[in-house]
Amino acid sequence: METMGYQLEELIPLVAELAAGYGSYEHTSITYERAEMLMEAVLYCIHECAEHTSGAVSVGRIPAREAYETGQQIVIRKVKRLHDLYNDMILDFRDYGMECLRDTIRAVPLFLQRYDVRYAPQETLLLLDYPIPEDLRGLSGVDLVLAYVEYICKEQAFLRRFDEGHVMDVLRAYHPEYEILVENICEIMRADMEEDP
Amino acid sequence: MGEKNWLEAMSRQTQMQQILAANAYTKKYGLVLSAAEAELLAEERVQILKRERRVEFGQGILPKIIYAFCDSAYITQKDYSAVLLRLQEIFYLYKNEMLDEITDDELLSFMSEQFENVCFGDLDYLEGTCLDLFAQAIRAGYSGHRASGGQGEFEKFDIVKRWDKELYMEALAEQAWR
Repeated sequence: METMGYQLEELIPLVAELAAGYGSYEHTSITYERAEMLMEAVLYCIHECAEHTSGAVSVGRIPAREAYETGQQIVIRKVKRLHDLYNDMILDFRDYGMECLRDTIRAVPLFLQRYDVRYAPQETLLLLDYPIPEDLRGLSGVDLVLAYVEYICKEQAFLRRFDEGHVMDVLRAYHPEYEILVENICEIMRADMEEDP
Repeated sequence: MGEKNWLEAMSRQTQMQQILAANAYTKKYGLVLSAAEAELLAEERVQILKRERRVEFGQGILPKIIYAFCDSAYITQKDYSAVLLRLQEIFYLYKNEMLDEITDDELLSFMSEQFENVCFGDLDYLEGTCLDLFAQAIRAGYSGHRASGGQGEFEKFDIVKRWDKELYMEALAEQAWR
């Protein structure tokens, strides 16, 4: 297991604290699977700290607890940013009739509702079916959902430069039943512009 | 000694100290563990946890098992450590079987009550019948133990009729007419 430059002995007390809280202090033992999940939660937060302090502080040089707690605060700030971003975007959100985009964005509040910052920050919970051209492989949890929503915001801003009816005409010309397609709108628009500049 | 071995040894030592500390309380019931028995129990704990794929942090369950069962009428000094060993195994097995839906205290409460009042000290019956039936109920979604703390639960799932009035009256009549 990759431990972000820390010895397991330094991480185990953090996992033990999470395990105690997870079981409401009523279980002295947990399954391997649960322990792995909690270890992933600890490492996810430490990774957040490493990303945030890259170049400034080497994570292995600060105590694991400090890196974990700093990382957890970063995760909380990201959730807050996702919340704000979503609220701003949804006011003027257009799905252009695309069911996949509508359903994917509609699920973001569920993520905010169910996301477990403390015990499972690494879990993405959403399928994010609407395809986007950015490569978000390697991301999970709020990192992934935030990056995804940031892209959708940019896409919405781009599409708003066109008349809504025009976008829908282009989509319909691309496929008469475009509503059920699982394709990126910008990609279709770009192909259309390249064909008919 | 490697760092990991050193940590394991320290954990085992802590376990042993806790187990031996319980002697001060259990000796009034005529039950005392020797250092060798405590070491064996601590060692077996590690093996059982590995077998049941569980991780234990902190105090561990054995001191709680000792306090829950030391007043049993069915445990004697002769078989004390063997019974504890078996109870420890059964405990972790059923933590898994009940999908961690039951707390340590609820499970111990259920186990000690059954051991005393239903199994009359029979560990096989406790493991194979009482706990098995209760685990089936828990897995099926039963949650009554949260209100009862694990007390008085088994009779709801017991497949054996424990009190048969007709049989009792028959036996009584036989005695009376003899």
